[in-house]
This record gives sequence, structure tokens and C-alpha cells, in this order.
Amino acid sequence: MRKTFARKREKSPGLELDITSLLDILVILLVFLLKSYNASNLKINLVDDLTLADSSSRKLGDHSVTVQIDRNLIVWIDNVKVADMKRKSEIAKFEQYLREKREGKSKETVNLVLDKELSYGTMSDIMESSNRIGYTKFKFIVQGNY
Amino acid sequence: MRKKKNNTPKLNLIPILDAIFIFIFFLLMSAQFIDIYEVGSDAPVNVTFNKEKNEEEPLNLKLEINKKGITVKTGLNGKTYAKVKTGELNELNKILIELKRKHPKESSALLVPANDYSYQELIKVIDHTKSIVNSKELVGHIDPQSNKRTAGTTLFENIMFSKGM
Repeated sequence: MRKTFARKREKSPGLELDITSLLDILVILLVFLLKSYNASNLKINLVDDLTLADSSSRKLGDHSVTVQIDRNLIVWIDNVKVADMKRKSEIAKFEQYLREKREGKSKETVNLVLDKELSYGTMSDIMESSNRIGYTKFKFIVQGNY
Repeated sequence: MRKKKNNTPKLNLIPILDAIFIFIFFLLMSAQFIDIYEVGSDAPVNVTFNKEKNEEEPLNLKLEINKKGITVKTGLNGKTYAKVKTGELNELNKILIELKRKHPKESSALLVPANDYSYQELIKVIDHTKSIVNSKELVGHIDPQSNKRTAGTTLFENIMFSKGM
């Protein structure tokens, strides 16, 4: 009986992918993102024409009603355009909207996001109006730059 | 003699890459490229002084702020304690550290800015009033209710505003 030796076909080497560089990029990206991860549950979509004031505060914010005032004195509540502070008559509109937001809620805190170029007078008007509605605690949202 | 090939096991990195990739997308979605923090305050108040005579005279710290500078006033009569020029916030911080050391139970400050005072500058004043800035010093604080003493960088944490000048 003749033994037949079937020739073993050499397996063709598969395509080898060198992913070392890709891993390097991913690790660096991962480290960067871990470093910039923010544990706060406060997420703000800043409106246009608004630059946050710089602060050395490192206290994390908390979710609450957010009032934004840009440098043109336009007031936004939770990203809805509400009033123009240049017209004194529109303060009533602002208060009405805020009152509707407050209904049925016990939280007395409001997040104030003001453009850094605004004056204390504008800030004071907003705080007084908010206080009339029942908000007694104010959190000024700032950016940590120094 | 047949030589046995020593097959070194190859590490399959594909599942690890998948996991890292998904993780990165999650972090990208939650990343904020501006670091957002908060500075707390209470509602604006009318200026009132505690006129009751206690054994210990309350500090009644008041800062009158305008473009020329900051006037630090204390006591029942609102006596001027110190004046600081605009921009000299480190000087203001030193004065407040001094006051905090004399009155470790006090933690409130009333700010009376001028109506045209800049919001950015006001935030800087608040930062320098709330805590020690640019220094490694510590101050003691006594909780008025529990009398517990702690050391830290907190100065006058409870900021209140009064109607502008």
C-alpha cells in the first residue's frame, strides 16, 4: 500500500495590522477626556453673545432654573428668549415667565448666567425680580480660569 | 526528528479597542470644554444693622464698592475699617483675613456695589471675600452653633447684596 502524503498547503499569512500608533492616540485621548470629565449634573447651553465671568471658585453647580443674560441685555430662561432688559416694560414679561416656571416647585435656587461685561445694576434688577417670584438663593455661573 | 514550532500566543486587542472606543464617545459627549463653577449668594437685602446690644459686638461687615475703590466698614455704626484702591484685591484679601482672625464666628458680608460696577470685577471681589486667594495661609472658623473650630481658607462665605449706590 502506497502511502500518499498529501502535501500540506502553506497557509497564506493573514493581513497583519500594526495598531500601536492607534492605541497611542486612543490612550492620550482617553487621558485628556478623563481629565476634563466634570462630575456636576449642571449642563448649560450658552447663548450667543455671552461670555462667562472668570472666577477662582471651584464649587460645582447644580441643576436649577437657568437665567441667561447676554451682552445685549436679552434674557433667556432655560434657553427660551423671554425679554429684552433694555425695555423696562419687559421686566413684567420676565417675571411672568419665571412665575410660571416656579409653579409647583419648592426649589428656591436660580442659576444666573451673566455676560461678564454687564453691570451690577442689571444683575440687581434680575435678582430683585426673581426674589419677588420666590427665589431667594442665587448661583452665579462662572468659568474657572484663574 | 521533527522540530516542534513554539507558537507564542498572540494577544487579541480588538475587544479592548472596542471598549476604549465606546468609552471615548461617552466621555466626548459628557465633556465640557469650559469649566463651569458656581458662586453662591442670597437675595438682595435692605441694609439693616443689628442694634441689639450683645456681649460681643457683631462684625456687620460691609463692603462699599465703586470704580474708585472698596471701603471696608464694620460694626454697628458702619465705621470705616480700611480703604482699598481698585485692582488691589490682594490687599482686600489681607484685610479680610485680619478681620476673620479677630472674628472667627462671623461668616457673612454685605456687598454694596455701585450700579455701574462691572459684573466681572464684582465676581473677583466676591472671590477675594469668600476665601483666601493666592496664599497658603489658613484661618480658623468657629461654628456659632456647635462651637466647633476648623481651619481652612474660607473667609466670609455668606455673601449678600444690597441695592447699589
